[in-house]
Amino acid sequence: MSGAEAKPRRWVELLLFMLLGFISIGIPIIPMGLAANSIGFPDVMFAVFTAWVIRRPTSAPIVGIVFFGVLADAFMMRPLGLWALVLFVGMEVLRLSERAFRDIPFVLEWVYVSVLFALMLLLQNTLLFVSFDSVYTLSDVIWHWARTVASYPLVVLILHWVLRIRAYKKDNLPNRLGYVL
Amino acid sequence: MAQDTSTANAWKVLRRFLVGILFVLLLGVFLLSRIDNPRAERFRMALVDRFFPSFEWALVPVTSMTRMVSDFQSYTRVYEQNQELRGELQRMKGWREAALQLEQKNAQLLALNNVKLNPRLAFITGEVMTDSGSPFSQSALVNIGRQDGVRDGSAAVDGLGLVGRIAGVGEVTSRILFLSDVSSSVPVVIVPSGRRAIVRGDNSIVPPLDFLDSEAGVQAGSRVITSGDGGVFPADILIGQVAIDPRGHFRVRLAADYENLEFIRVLKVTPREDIGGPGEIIGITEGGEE
Repeated sequence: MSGAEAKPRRWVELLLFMLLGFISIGIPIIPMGLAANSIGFPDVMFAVFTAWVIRRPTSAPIVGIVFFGVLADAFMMRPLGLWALVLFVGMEVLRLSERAFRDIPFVLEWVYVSVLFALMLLLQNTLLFVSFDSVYTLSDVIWHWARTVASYPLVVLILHWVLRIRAYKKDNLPNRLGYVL
Repeated sequence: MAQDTSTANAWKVLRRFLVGILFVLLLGVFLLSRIDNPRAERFRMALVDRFFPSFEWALVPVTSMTRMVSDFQSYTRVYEQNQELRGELQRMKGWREAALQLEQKNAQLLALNNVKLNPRLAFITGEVMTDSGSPFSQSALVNIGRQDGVRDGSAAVDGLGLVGRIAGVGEVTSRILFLSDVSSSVPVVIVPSGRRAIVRGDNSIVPPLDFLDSEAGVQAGSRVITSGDGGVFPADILIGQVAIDPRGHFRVRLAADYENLEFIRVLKVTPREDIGGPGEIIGITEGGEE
């Protein structure tokens, strides 16, 4: 019944998700402020994907998340596959705790996301450490965390008001846990 | 209804399976990039080469827009800039005179000595297309690559000083690792004292001088140039000037203008022919009739 009309909408959302993936790689690599002292960009991709997965877990394909993660790693000169792996794990954790996000105030969601991001950065540094790579300095990591957490409400605002990606109301939740693709 | 739940269950199982595969795949990619780094870097550049054109059409207008905005912002401080420039011009006039005299003297001396300078130093100019976009690494993509003759390890300079080196070459793009990146270390000579050191990047605009052999004669303002040790960079490219931080450590104020980096020259140096060992020049080898 509702499946037929929901289908085109899901494809539109899927396309939008792909577009946002490309944009979230494109924004930080605009060549402005190349000097090391200039303020770095927050992790736009994390903010966008997190906000999306919390609101529409069904149209955030895991293959897409992995693809954009690896592409971002390639473009941003990070160890290949590292942040993609961490992002993937983070998003899966979010999906598993999907129930926790039903009808909670935004502030709580924000706190949860910032804690998750901190844990992800910790995991990233741990992986670097155990693979005998040089770990990122604490001050860099903390600033990166702060910038990303600060940018999260803005991303949610854009998703909510401009792109109209909002959390489902209690009664029209889709019954499937998630789609494979 | 019963069928509905069973399909949902099948989906769930399939999905869990996929999650496992992807996890192992990503872990594998990461481990591979740690074990066989050159291959991973080639893969990275191939990926960038493949997807860069799809970013380019969107990035170029945005980049020129942001540049226009920042240019416009600079109009607001046009008066101060004018004052500064006047002062600088005055000083430059003095330097110009000195440079002209030195040039003449140099030409005379070279003529006296009949010195052959390295004629094989050529360069190609590329435009900076993207920033690294990550606070943990300092690099940029330029729009020249293997088909333009860029090689891994070539030195990249802006008009004035060394910017970094090429780390990763694709067909049409290449990656420049800045001097300020944590994985960059460049052997240098400090003139006029002749002390040797290594400029090690630490994510700041004033990277420290490491392994300075002696502090004697090193002062703030001494020029720092590449020494050519290690054979990665040609010698005598300007890097910057020595500065001393509040804690008394020596650092380098980089000469390259990273703030307004737009065009970059990549030096093409034909490597010197190495004479390794006595060789087969002297003496008769087996089957030497050919």
